[in-house]
Amino acid sequence: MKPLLLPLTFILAVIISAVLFVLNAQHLQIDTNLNDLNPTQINEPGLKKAIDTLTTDISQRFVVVIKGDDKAAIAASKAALQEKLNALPELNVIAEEAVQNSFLNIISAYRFYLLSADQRQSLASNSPQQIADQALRKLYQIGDGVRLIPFEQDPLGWFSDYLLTSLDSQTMPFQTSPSGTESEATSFSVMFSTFPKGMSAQQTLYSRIQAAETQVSQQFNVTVLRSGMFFFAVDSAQSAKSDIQLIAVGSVAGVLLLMMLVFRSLLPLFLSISSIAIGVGFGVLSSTLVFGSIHVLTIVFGASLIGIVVDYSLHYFYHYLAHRQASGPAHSGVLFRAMLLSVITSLVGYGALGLSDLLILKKIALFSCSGLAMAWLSVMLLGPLVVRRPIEARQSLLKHIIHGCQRIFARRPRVLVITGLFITIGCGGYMLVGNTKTNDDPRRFFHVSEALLSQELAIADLTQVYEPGRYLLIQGETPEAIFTALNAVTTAEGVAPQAISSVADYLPSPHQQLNNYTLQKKLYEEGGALDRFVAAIGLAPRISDQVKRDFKLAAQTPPLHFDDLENQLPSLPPLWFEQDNLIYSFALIRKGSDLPAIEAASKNITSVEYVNTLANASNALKAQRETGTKLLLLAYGLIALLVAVYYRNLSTVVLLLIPASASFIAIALVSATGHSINVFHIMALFLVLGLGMDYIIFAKEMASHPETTQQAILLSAVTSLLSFGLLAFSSMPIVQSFGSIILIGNTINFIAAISLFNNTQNTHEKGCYGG
Amino acid sequence: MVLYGLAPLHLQAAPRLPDEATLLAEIFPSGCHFSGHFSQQKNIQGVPVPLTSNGDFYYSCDLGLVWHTQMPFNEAILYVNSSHNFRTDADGGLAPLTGSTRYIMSNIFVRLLKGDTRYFIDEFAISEDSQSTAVILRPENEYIRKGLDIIEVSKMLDQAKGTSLSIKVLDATGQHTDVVISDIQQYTISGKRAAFEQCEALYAHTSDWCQVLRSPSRY
Repeated sequence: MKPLLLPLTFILAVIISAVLFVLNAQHLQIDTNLNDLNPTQINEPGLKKAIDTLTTDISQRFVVVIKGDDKAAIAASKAALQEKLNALPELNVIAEEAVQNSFLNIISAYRFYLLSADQRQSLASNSPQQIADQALRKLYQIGDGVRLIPFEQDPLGWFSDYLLTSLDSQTMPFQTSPSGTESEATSFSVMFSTFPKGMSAQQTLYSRIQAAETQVSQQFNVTVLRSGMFFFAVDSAQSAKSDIQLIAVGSVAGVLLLMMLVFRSLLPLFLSISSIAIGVGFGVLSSTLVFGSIHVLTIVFGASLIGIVVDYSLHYFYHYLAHRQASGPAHSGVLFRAMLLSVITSLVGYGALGLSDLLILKKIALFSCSGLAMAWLSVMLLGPLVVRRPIEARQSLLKHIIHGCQRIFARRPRVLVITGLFITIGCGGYMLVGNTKTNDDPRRFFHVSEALLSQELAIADLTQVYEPGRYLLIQGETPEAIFTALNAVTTAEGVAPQAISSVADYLPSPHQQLNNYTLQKKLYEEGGALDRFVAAIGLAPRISDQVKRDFKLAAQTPPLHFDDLENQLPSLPPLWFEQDNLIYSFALIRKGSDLPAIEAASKNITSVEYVNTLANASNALKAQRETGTKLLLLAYGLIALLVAVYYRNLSTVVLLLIPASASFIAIALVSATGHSINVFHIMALFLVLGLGMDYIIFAKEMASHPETTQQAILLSAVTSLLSFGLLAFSSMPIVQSFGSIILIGNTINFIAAISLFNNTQNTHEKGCYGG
Repeated sequence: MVLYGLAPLHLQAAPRLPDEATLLAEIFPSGCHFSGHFSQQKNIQGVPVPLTSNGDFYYSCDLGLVWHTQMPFNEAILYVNSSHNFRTDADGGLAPLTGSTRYIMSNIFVRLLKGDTRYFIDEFAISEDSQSTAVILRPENEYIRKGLDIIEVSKMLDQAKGTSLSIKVLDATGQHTDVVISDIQQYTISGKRAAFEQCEALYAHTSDWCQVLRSPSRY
C-alpha cells in the first residue's frame, strides 16, 4: 500500500486541479498582445506606466476611412456605419463634432488666459487706443467674418482670432479629414468602450465590424478601410489558432498512432496521453497564475511540447523493456538518474529562454519548464502502475528503419564523425565570411494578411499626419519645465515649429496663461481697449460691463492644465502623465519633418528624448540575439560541466560536439535558404542543445542495449520532429524560425545518437545496467 | 400622358441637378486679371447699426490681391499667398495678417477669386438656392462650421453696370456680411511683370503695395 500512496496522492491532486481548472475555465484568458515581443526595457515605474497608458490608448482605437466617387454617398455611408458601430456595445464612435463642441466650451471659459504669439506682441507694443482702433477696423474687414463665440462674449474678437490662428497653423487636434486624394474620402475614429477579452470575444467583434463594413460598402457603393492594432492582433491570433490546431492535432495524432503501432496496448498510451495532458495543463495553470493570462504564442510553442513530453514515457517504457528482469533499488536508482538527467537537460534548454528580455520568451520558458517538470513527475509516479502489467513493443518496423539509417550513416562511425566535423567547420566558415544575414526588424516576426496590410498602407497615405513609431518624450517636475522643453525643441535650429504636435497645441503653459491674463488687462480693465472700442462703435454699456465682469471672475479660476482638459475630454490622446511628482509628456512628429534636426535638437535638451520605437525595438532584439548567443555558449559550458561531473570523465565533454555541430549546420542551412537569422533562431539552438543531450544521455546510459535504445531514440525523435516540424510550417515567421532550426538540428542529433552509440565500448560503468 | 405617369419614378425625365463643378463655374471669375469696386455691409448682433465700407481691388493670378478699403478707413490688404499677406494703413505701415482675417483671406476669399474648384469641392458642400439664383457653400469641416455657417455667392449681369458678384457670409453666431463686387474690369495680360505694371497703373500713389506683391519675401 505504501508504494501506492504517492501515485494515488498525485492522481488525487491532478483530479482536484483538473476539476478546479474546468470550473474556472471561463476565467482563462488567451492574451493576443503583440507588445510581448518588444524587448525594450523601461525600469522607471512612472515612465513605464505613461508608455503603457499611451500604448493601451493606441491599441484601443481604430480609424475608419470611407472612399468613393460620390460625396453624398460617402456622407450617408459614414452616418450609417457610425450608427452600426455605435450599436455594438464594445465600441464608441468618436463624434468629432461633440468633441469639438466640448473643447470649445471648455477653453471658452479660459479665454482670458489664451493669446497667440502675435496677440502678445500686439498687446506689448500697442496702446489701448491703438488696439481699440484695430478692433474697430477689423470689424469692417472682410476677414473678420468668423466668430466662434457670440460677439457679446468676445467683442474685440481676440478669442476667435486665437482659435483661428491655431487652426490656420494646422496645429489644432481636429484636422483628421483626409485630403489630397483623387477620389472623395472621409474618416472617423472609434474607441473601445469595453475591450473584448479573449480570442473568441475579439473574433466575434471583428466579424461584426466586418459585417457592418460590408453592408455599408455594398449599400452605398463605397470602399471602407480601417486601421488599428486590434485588427492585427485578431489576425495574428487567427494565424496562431490555425497553427495551434495544426501542431496540437498533428502531434497528438502522431503520438497516438506511434504508441498504438508500437505498444498495441492502452496502458502505455494512457500514460503518454496523461503525461501530455498533465504537462500542458500545468503549463497553462502556472502561466495563468504568474502572468494572469496565457499568450497565444505560448500556446503555439507550447503545443510543440507534446513531442518532448511524450519522450519521458518512451524513455520509461524502454528502460522497463530493457531491464524487465532486473528489479530492486539499483535498477530504480539508475532509471531515476537517467530520467533526471534527461529532464534537466531539457529544462536547461527551455529555461534558458527565460533569460531573454523578451516577455514572450519568458512566458514560453515558464509554460514549458513547468509543463515538462510536471509531465516528468507524472511519468515517474504513474509509470510503476502502468508497468505492473507486462507491456510489449513491436520492434520489427522500428528495427527496419533504424537499420536503414545505420546502413547510411553508421557503417563507419569514424567517417561520420570526421564528415560531420568537416561540414560543421564548413558551415562555421560560411557564417564567418559573412554569408549569414541577420534581421532584427520586429515587423518581420509576424505574418499579416495582405488585405490588412494594404488597408493599413492606404489609410496611412490618407490620414497619417504623424511619423509612425517616432515621438519625443519630455520629462519634468513641473508643467512649466515641460512647456519650456517643448519650446526649446520647436525653436531649435532646423526644426519647424509646426513639426511637433504636443500639449502646447492645445494650451499654453500655466505660467504663460497667467501672463496672458495679465497682458489682457490692457483690453478689459477700466478705460482699456474694450471701453474705447465700445464708445467708438456705440455699443450698449451692458455688453462691455459683462465682459469686464467675466474677466475679473476668470482671475479666481486657476489656469487650465492639460490633465484637466484630458479628464473632461477622454477622447484626447494621453499626452500627459503624472506620477510621483514627475510629469511625462509625449510629443508627436509631423510627417515630412526634418527628423535628424529634431533628433539633434532633442539630444541638446536634457529633459527631451527622441524615441524611435522601431529602431529601439530592432536594437533591443539585436542585443537579445547577441546576448542569446553568449548565453548559449554559457549553457554549453554548464552542460559540459554537468556531463563531466556526472560521468567523472572529462573526455565526455566531446559529446557536446553533436548538438554544437547540429546547431552550426542548422543555422548555415537556414541562412543558405535565404532566411535572415533572428533572436528566435538563436533561442531555438538552446533546444537543439537540450534535446540533443537528451538523446545522447539516453543512448549512452543504455548503450548495453543498443537496439532497444535506438528504438526509443527513434520514437522520441519522431515525436519531437513531428511537433517541431509542424512549427516549421507555421504561417508565423517567428514560429517558423524556431521550428526550422529544431527540425534540422534535431534530425542531426538523432542521426548522431543512433549511429555513434552502437557498441558496448561506449558504456560507462555508471550507466551500465548489468546486461 | 397617362402611360407616362405610370412609369417608374426613376425612369421619368427629372430635371438634372447641376454638379458642383458646374455650379462653381457659374460664380467663378472668367478671367485671371481683373479689378473692380466693392461695397460691404456687416450686421453684427449687439451692434446697433450696420457697418458699411467700400473700396476697390485688383486681382492677378500671377501677382496676388490688393483689397483696398477707402471708407471708413483707408487701408489695404495685400495678399500674395497663404504665407505672405499683409495689412497696410494710410501711413504706409505694413503688418502681417493674423487671425481670422488671414484665415478667411487664405482659405476662402482668394480661392474664390482664383476659381479654385478643387478646394471648394473638397471643403464645402455646394448647392443652389431655391430660386437657382445663388450658389450656397457650406463648410464640411465641423470645426469651421463652428464659426462659419454658409457663404452664398451669386453673379449678376446688368446691361449698364456689367457683371457684379454678391458674396453673403453668414457665421454661426448669426452675423451677416454682404460684399458686392462690381465694375469689374478684365485685363488681357500675361506674366508677372505685366501684372505688376497693371497694378502700378491702378495704384500709382501707393505703388509700394505692388512691390510687396511682387517681392513679398523682402517685407
